[in-house]
Amino acid sequence: MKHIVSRTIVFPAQLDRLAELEAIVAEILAQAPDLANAEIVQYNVVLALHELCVNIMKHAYAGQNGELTVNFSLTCDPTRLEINTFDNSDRIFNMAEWREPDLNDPPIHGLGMYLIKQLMDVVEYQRTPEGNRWRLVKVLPVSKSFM
Amino acid sequence: MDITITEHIQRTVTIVVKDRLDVMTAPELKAQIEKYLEEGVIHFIVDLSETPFMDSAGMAVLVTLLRRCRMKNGSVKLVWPQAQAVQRTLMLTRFDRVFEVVGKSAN
Repeated sequence: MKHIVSRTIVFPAQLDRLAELEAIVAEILAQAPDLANAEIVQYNVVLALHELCVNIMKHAYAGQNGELTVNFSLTCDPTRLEINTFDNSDRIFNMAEWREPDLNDPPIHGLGMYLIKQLMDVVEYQRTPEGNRWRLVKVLPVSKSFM
Repeated sequence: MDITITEHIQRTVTIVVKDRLDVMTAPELKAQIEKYLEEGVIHFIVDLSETPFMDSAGMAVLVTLLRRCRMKNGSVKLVWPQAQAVQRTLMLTRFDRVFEVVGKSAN
């Protein structure tokens, strides 16, 4: 697995700062060699990360001041983007209790986590002594001409 | 000639969402919708054809609207987005089946 680019940003857990993440995802994915369906892949990663960060801000920090660290790591062989987020909230997410929503009668809340799981290949949660860690991985499709 | 003619005029509100429908903008849409619901409107068309991005907060506004309209025998139609990624989000969450959709091809 070869490393292409890695980047870490730390920002206040505020909804109006989310747009900055989108620009960074775009910058990083632009360095992925021969990415297929680039526009849709970028949208999906942006949406998944957006949903995760909104959840952290609304539920982990519950609207209180806090800090969010996001680490991006783009690698090849295979081409994939790994995103790790770290927050310092004392609230724990209980992944075991999470249930997939009934989409025949869609809920008002809970679609965010469902979207994250649908859009990313790996979604992991870990409680650490410092707070919460989320790990998202997207295996990036490579155009056939590159293979 | 014994004829009875009854004319029903149904008020339908169309909302065109040309900007992102997300956690930042959803409260504004929700407030606009609330205004019409309070006026007794129960039929809505939400035009997503030019919506470039939608998150779960935006979807929550649509689900809330659908529930409230259905409770009063109303309806909510979605005009299908042109953006492929938004289309995919709506299909992943089966909004294309739960809502009445306009402008979506059979494929």
